Amino acid sequence: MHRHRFPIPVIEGTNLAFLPVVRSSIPIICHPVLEGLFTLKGTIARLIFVLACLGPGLGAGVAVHAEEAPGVLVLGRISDDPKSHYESMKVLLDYVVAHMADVGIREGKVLMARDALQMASYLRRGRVDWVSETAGGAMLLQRRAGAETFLLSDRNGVRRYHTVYFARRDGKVTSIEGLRGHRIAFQNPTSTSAYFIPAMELLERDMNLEILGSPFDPPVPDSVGYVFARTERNIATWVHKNLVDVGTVSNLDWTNARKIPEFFKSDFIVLRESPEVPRGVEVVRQSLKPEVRARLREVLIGMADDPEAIGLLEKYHQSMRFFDLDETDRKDLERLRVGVNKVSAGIE
Amino acid sequence: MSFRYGLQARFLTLVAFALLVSLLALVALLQRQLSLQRDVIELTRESIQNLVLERLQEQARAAGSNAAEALINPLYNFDLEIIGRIVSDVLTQPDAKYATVYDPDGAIIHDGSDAIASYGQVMSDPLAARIIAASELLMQRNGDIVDVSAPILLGEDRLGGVRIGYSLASVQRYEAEATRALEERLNEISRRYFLGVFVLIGLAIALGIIVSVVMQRVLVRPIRRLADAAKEIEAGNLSVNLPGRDNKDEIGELIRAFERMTDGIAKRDRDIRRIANTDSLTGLANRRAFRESLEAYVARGRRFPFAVILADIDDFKPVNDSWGHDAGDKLLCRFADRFREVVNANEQIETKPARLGGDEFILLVQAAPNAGAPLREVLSRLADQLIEEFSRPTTIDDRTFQFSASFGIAVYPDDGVTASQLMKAGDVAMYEAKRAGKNRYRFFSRS
Repeated sequence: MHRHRFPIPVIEGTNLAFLPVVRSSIPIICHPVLEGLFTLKGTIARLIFVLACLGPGLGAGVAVHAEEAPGVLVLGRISDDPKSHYESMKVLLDYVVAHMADVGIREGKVLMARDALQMASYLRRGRVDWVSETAGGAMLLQRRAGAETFLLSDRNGVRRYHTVYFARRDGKVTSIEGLRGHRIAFQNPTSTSAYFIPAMELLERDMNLEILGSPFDPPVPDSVGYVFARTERNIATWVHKNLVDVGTVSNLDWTNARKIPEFFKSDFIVLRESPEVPRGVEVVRQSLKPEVRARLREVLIGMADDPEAIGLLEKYHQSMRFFDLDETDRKDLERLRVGVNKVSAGIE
Repeated sequence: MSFRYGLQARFLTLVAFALLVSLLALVALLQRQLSLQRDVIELTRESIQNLVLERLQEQARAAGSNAAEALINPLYNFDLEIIGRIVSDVLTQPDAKYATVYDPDGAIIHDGSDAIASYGQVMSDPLAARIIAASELLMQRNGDIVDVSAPILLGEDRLGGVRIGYSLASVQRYEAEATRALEERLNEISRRYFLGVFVLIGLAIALGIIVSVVMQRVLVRPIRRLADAAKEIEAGNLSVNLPGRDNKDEIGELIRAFERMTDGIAKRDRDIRRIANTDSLTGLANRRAFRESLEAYVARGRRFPFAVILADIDDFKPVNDSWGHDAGDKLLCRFADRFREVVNANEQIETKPARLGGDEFILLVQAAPNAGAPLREVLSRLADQLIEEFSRPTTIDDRTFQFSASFGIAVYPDDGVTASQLMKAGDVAMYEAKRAGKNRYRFFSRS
């Protein structure tokens, strides 16, 4: 676990191939003094990290020493492909920072984490101020780092989405209840629509979930065996080739022919569609100054009416609008939060 | 002209034979060249094929083992999307016809298509059994396909395998193209070679013709001329004229020798002719020569009058009997000398004295162009001179003899128009003179 306390865990790990990509985000989080030195190799860099991170390591999650310098707003995202996400995040961040000088924000930085555990660590230590996530991811961060949901966002006009359960038309499983003793494919452990929601719904039905090593692993009788297929396409293929009985994807992917091709889909039937949850959820760290948080909310909501902001992200084939949560959203997120807790507790 | 297998024909035959032999040699050479060319093309085709095939096999081996390596994790996780991507990558390689990932039982897991239509089908083609059983990389050939397969192993565990088929079509196309290019180059070289050979043959033929012409001029034609000259000589014409006697070569020498020989023959011919026309005792023309001259005179025609004077020594016969033939011969010689002297001394006549035999002499006479007197008058005067000269005494072996002679004269064309008539007429006149008492002359008279 100690690895996650270090800002650059990959240095210690074997996956050095990621170094150049990760390095681009390093100056954003390190002390300015460290920036120049960071280009030094191996031991020196590692030594400095140890020194720099000694404080937070001892502070056990209390964000004091590692907190970003005043005047800098850090936007975080969980991503295993920082390169493709960086630019659009920076554009958004720059817009936001430009409107926050009155609360002392003069600079924006992007910070990406490879998974929720790492992002939770950043949040706890105050290394990141604001994180864009899916609903499930936001609930996980809330559970692990006390992050607070403060806005919803839509992605390309989609504000809410849900899970689609599907199976082969000629398959053995014809309902969710029939999954006992059978296999279901999820995408990965951070997916909202293809993990948290279906896992939550199965647990809600008092069904036991048992993780399987591969689709060939035989399911345990009376339990639902689940496997992570990594991609929607794998989920569809596994279902189509009878490797698993049921697959789960978001309704957005279900209608995306690139992910679920028509020649597969025509052999599938939909077993269930879950209730909707908000698509994008913005969280901030608990310790963020209230005036900064308030100003950030204002700026983001105001984007909808600012001609300058409209079309800001178009060249990244994205659009983003921000909303306050209404009662339904709160209810849905609460249910999801409970569910995520249950999943985390019940499965992991 | 009938064909003769002469020198030239022989030489031409030889040249033709030599040409034929060299032509055959050339044909053999060209054939060898062509077969060599075929061999070269065949060898090249083989080596290109081997080379390209080897390269393809190397590529296949590398691709097979790379894919098997890359597929371990995705296959272990059964990540069909990544498996599909790897297989699709393999299929983008040139010449790759199929790529398949299969499980340990040979059932297809991925074929590179989006829908993986063949999923779960157990491979059953002719190569499949060995592929499924193989524990290491396997290279097989099936018709136009090079098939490489490699098991996908995780430690000792066999997760399945990957199989890639490469088409040899482009190998064959490449090979065909390379061979065609080579063939064109070789044909071009051959064309040049053939051209050179044909030029050589043309030169040889031209050389043959030139040599033949030179030979015709230098050898055959002079020899033919010599042969023709020999024929002329055979026909009696000894005055042959041969060009080329100044040549320094053997032919010139031959011509000169031939001319010397011709000269020799001509001289002998003259000698023989002289011997044949001369009376051996007296040196006068003999009867034969006289007869020839007479015929020639007669042949001139009537416009050229001439006469024959026949002389016979009176009472000569007893000389031989009484004094021996030797004395007789000497007397005859003396008479011949007198005959000759009289005739030579007389400027009014042109004569040909001859001895007919025994004690008979004859004279062919025509008036000299400046005679200044009728022929008969000239003849009378000549006859008188002869009678006088013949009657002079002469000494032989210290013995003095006195003889006389009788002369008969016949004049052409009055007394005869043929040689025989004239001779006969002369004879008749001569006997007339004898009858009249000898030592006198008589003109022929028809009465």
